[in-house]
Amino acid sequence: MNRKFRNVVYNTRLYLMLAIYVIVVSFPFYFMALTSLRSQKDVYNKATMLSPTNLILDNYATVINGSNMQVWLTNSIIVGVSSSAVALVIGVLAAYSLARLRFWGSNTLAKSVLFMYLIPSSLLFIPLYIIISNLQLLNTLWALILAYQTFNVPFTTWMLLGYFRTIPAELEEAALIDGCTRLGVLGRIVLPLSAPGIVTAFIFSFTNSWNEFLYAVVLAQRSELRTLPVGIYSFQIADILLWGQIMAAAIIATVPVLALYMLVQRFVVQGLTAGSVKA
Amino acid sequence: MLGLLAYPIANAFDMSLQDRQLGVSGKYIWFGNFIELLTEDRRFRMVVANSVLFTTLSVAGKIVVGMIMALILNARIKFRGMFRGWLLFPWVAPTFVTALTWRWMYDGTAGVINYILLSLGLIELPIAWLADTSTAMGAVIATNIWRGFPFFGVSLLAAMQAIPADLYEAADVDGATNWQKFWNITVPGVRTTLAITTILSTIWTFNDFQIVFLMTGGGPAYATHLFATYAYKVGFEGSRIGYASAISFLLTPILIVMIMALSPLIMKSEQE
Repeated sequence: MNRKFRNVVYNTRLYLMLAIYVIVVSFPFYFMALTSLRSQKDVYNKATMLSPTNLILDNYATVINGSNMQVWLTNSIIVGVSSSAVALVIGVLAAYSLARLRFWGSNTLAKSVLFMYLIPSSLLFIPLYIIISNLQLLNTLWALILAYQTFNVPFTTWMLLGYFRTIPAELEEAALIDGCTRLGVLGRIVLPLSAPGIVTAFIFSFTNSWNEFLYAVVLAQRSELRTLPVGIYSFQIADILLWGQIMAAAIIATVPVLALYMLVQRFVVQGLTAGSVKA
Repeated sequence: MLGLLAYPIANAFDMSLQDRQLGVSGKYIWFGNFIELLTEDRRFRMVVANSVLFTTLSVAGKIVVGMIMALILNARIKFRGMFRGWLLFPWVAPTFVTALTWRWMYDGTAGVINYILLSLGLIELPIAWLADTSTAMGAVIATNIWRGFPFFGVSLLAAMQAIPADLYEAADVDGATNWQKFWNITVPGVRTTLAITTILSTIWTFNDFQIVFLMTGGGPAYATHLFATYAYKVGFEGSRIGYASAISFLLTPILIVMIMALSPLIMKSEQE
């Protein structure tokens, strides 16, 4: 009886704490959605602050039709897809050579890939600005695609290195003996076997590029070249902060990322540890 | 690939030795920028103090909140997988969205945080969270903890699940309390993971730009400026690009120390 009672207390406490976590995590998202569905006047109405009443879709219509949102969205997709695709090609080749080819310093180089990923944009943004302006690429989307390689290449390389190492070398040796070339082995054996890793690496790179802010602020300043984060931020340079519209745009920017995340959820947890912590 | 990053860093150092302005080529003044930063620039001293405070409290907060999250999810609860995915949302959502949403929630006149605290009677007057020098840093840190704790939670959970269950059973037989089990089994079991995540998070937090830039812009009165936001302000709003390079170049010593601490831990975790 006593033991059973203790169990009930324990479970109640456990689920109570879990509930606090769920509320604290969910509330900002709830409030964001609520604000995005309110007119500029209702946004400031204290009486209905927390209840889902008087909801309208006007902000979404205004944001999509009335601003540069479509341009920013397109820019974000172009930059996200191309910078991840380029990084993936470089990452596959680099990771494969680090995983299989034994050359002097290949082990040290493999370790330093992770350290390269850790070099922060706050350290690199000024030199990158100068380099890119010397290349006459300032205020082009190329600038961002190029700059994002500084984190996407080390990231994809590190992540794929972990995957490639799990593929038994015997498989590849057999193919080599049968007359396959190194690149043939890569294309016919290694890539198909590491497909989940490649998809995950692509999605992670895409998300990182999608969310990137500092390089985007510095390297593409003209309105028609902005990506979503910088574009949405520019909604608030006006005298009045249009929170309804900002939150609507923020939701539009969040949905693709959350959708991709749900799609690869089981890899994400793995990826957190595989990609950034261990191979 | 080394060139991809070594070249910009060399470039940063080269530029930090010049008095270069945006759009104009400068001349070498050697360590002039660094001397000015370290001896004359009082704002830079604030930036250093802010960065240390911001990083220490944020990372400590993330460790505590993340550890509790991992302990809850590691207990026998229903729908663990679903809750784990759900609690990871703040980490997955774009940082700029988090920063803007919290800025709106902190709003001094119509913010929902003031509304809730006023309705509960916890405060009597609305607080201008982000506009007051005494609350701005705390508010920014709270947002940063919200954003970053799931990374700790999920990583620590993975480590906890790798601890053999018979260790706990043996402790039960010996009559150990929960507290003793936590300190003598759980903590040693997650130590390497905790160290790695702490170092990674320290690097990311120390170099943060978005949260502060979008929430306070470094204000009020430089109360929340960090290295990256200050370098941006000096370099792109004030156009002293050489001086700004020196500011961000001073991030390298900290980065090197962190990477040197990280290296043996990574090797250890690969062996485990």
